[in-house]
Amino acid sequence: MEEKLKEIIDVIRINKLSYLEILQLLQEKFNFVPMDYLNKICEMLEIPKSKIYGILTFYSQFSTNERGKYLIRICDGTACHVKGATKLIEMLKRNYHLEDGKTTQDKKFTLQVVACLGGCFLAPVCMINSHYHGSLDENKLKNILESLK
Amino acid sequence: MQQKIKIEIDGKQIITQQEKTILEVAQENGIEIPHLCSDNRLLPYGACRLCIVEVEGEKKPVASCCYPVYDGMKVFTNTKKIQELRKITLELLISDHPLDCIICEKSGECLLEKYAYEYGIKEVKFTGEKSKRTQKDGTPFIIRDYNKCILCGMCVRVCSEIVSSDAIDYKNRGFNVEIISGFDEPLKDTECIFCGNCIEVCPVGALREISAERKGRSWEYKKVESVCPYCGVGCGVVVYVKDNQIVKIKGQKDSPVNKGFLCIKGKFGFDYVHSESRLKTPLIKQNGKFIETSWQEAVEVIYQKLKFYKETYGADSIAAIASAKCTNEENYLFQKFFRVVIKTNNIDHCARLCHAPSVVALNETLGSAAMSNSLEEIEKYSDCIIVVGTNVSETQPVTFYRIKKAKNRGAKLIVIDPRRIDLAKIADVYIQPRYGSDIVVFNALAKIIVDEKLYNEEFISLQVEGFDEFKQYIEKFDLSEVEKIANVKIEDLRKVAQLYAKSTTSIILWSMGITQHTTGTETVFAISNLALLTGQVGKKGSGLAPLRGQNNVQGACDMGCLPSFYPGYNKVIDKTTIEKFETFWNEKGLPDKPGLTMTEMFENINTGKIKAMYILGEMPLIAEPDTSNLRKSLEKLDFLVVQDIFFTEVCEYADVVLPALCSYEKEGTFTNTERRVQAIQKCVENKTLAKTDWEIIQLIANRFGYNWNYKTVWDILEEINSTVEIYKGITPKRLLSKEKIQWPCPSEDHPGTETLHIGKFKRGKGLLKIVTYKPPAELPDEEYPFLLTTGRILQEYHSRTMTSKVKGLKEIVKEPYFIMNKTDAEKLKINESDTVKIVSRRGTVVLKAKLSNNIQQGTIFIPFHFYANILTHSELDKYSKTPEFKVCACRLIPANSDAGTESG
Repeated sequence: MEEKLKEIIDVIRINKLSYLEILQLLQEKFNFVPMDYLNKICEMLEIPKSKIYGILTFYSQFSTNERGKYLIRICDGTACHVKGATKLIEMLKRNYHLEDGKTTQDKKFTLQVVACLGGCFLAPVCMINSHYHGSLDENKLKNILESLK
Repeated sequence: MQQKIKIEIDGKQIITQQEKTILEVAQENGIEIPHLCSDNRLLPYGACRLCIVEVEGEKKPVASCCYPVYDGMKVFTNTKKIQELRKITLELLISDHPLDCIICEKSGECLLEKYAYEYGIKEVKFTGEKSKRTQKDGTPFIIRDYNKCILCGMCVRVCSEIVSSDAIDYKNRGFNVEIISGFDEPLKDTECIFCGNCIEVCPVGALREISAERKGRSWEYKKVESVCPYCGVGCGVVVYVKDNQIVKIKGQKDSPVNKGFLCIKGKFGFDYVHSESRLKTPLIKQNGKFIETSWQEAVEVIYQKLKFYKETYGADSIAAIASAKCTNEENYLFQKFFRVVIKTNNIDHCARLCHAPSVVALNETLGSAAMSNSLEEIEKYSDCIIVVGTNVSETQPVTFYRIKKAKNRGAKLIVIDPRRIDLAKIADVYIQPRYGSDIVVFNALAKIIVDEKLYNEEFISLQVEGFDEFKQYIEKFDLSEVEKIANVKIEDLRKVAQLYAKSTTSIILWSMGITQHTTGTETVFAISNLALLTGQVGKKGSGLAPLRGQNNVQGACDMGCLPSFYPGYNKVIDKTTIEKFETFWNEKGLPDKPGLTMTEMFENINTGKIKAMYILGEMPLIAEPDTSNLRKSLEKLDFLVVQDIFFTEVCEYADVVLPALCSYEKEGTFTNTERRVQAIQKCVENKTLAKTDWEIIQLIANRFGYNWNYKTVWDILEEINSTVEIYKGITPKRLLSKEKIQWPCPSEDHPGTETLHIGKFKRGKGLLKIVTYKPPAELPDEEYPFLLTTGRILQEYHSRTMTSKVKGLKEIVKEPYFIMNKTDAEKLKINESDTVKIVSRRGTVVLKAKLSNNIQQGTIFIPFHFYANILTHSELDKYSKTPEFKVCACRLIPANSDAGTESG
């Protein structure tokens, strides 16, 4: 941890990262925000812990729990809900034992049910990491997930 | 000058200034607008939406707390539409607020309750999901009942804007928002310093004092306005009393000193008042044991003994130590007793151990030594603030809040301190010199100011003397010495010199880091030089500010508890002084030779010159240097009287111990660091035999055959009005009608003096002094490789007589500790909390280690409250006789025994 921490602190110092950017850097590096690292960073850079924790808990892009390799953000907003998002969520539960906020045991998938992804015209829609997948049905989603290594 | 504008609120024509909000103007003009998240002491926020008003020309209602006024504006604060909207807002708030007002501690002072009543809200219209906020851990002082939180953000903002701790913030968003500390941890595990200001601003019952839980409700308390008994700021407090018990303390919102803000000690440190271990009766030592006795007998013993030593060895065989914690009236009477009845000038007090160098130096260069400006001026007017040798956020927290607000306003902050104190975090320039090298730093600044022609020629020609000689000297000063001796970069000092000299208003604040050196007085000369060169003195926000340590150390000096001054800084050596006071006091033969200073008194016990001593509310075994030696001196004393509120360690050496009342049990006045004289009121009745200090002194004086007849403390203040010029207009009548007046105040219709030295110095012209660097008396060597420095910490006060009785404080500072550098610790294989033996040439203490990189390598810091003075030496500053507490040499031995002390 020591070496990795030093490396991260250097990046923060050199680039004079804002609190938000520090969190993004950690999220990107670890796929979640490890609190032990954040704690050390706060101590070393004299950042008030409450301030950065406030930002961390405000944005859903950050997670303090380890996430799977693939983050599935499935929309259950009005349009998607009408077009059958519930069925997709049920399929994920049935086939992958996934629930909102949970990660599969093999750390491959994490599910997040969200209110809108801004792609209503593709409803029902989901995002897997940074890619959009639209006009889904149970099979299509299953095939996409199966194709991921 | 801000432009005057005309606006209309609810039909009322108002002339006001731009850059104010509607809410501010309304409040100033007695028009009430309900609000939950606004406070004049904080920046506008606009969260609660209760303060909405209608403005002509605006389509929608606006939040009056955030909306600036403009010329010709028409505002309507209470239309039907506004009332309806406010009602809905209140109903929404109440729909997520428990309605347990009948058992709520805040009832009677809760703003939500008040507005709900005023707007006639009878039922909860909006039902549905409720937030699941719960209580969080705020021990040992604060209840954080977030169930009642209305998310106004007042606590978050006060913590950030004023206190600068940033211990709390919002977590989550939307419906799940709540207030958390740190990473949602118990408060005591975070940056929280327990100042309690979050409680002060909370409009509802979410934040409360643990001490007051189930003790009573707002209307059941007697609320007494008084002054905090701790540091030199002298914050106004409101003491909540029920059944003769202090239940909680709040800040006095209209106090010009603290505006309602407090620190941990002032807010929570009052347990000592009701402590079981308070002294209750006079004690006399018989056969080595103390026995309880009557006042009559105690006074008789003191009379017989003092009379004996006076008659046998002369009046100067008796010495007295006054107390910076007693009132002006008590200190005045105490010195009067020794001068009139005993006829000695051997009277001194703890100012000798702190600001005596400032007093000596500034009296010589300016003619008056007190802080030249008010705290309000720092906040409002100072554009450049130099903080040097004072860890102000721990020693005078409320002054720190002022500095923080000045910083928020845009003032430049320069911190000069060998320890990287918390204040350095928010400084524009931070300079870390070596210990005891300040003279070099200030001389270098003076040289840069002279070389770069940053000095104020006009000011110098009108108000300063000694410039030519000074210029000649400083031009030859070698700037490279700064890097060699102080380890400071010249470039950084250039920045400081520029900021200090060029800012419209600059002020320098300092305390013990400057004075507690063998060169203390000379360092203050060097500081005074900077102000005189640049003319940064005698203006609003410009001046010299020695920050005083104890709540009445300024007053004790003013009252003449000094061996070379009669009250009002009348010099003992002036013949006119003696004549004047012989007339005032109707007594012939007053002592006309300067007496011994406190440090000299103890030396003279060893030589046999001092036989008897009278100590008033002071604990020299913590406060004096080289305390092992001091113990031996105290043992040699033939007769010792100690008058205190507790049986302190020095009482062990006493022959008579007298029980005194504490400040919350009596009346009188205190003078704070900014020369402001404030009255204290009696809050609780002490039912033991303890008396006020002035009553005790009067008893003894009268046993000596004097006919003193002060009936109340105010009779003494009236005498002070007639004998102390600077206090002339500060009468009981004015103080009791809540005036808080800064001296000099020459007449009863004079408002007091906020800024000193305007246009003219008391001594005529200001004097530039040539000073040269001398190293500290004892520096590390091979045998004692570490430099030991001492100082105060936030949670403790002086000798801990009071703070050690406060349960909550003990939970925060669990055990005595010292601070050392992390790299040093690694080398010596010392871990956090390890027990370490610290040895100097004078003695040994055993303390737990705290590791930090805020202290330089090769240096350790011991809070002086924890017996640090077993280790320090008694080399004195030759002008003021102040010891060099800030530098001595020591070595560290990792040990395995429990933390504690041993002398030897």
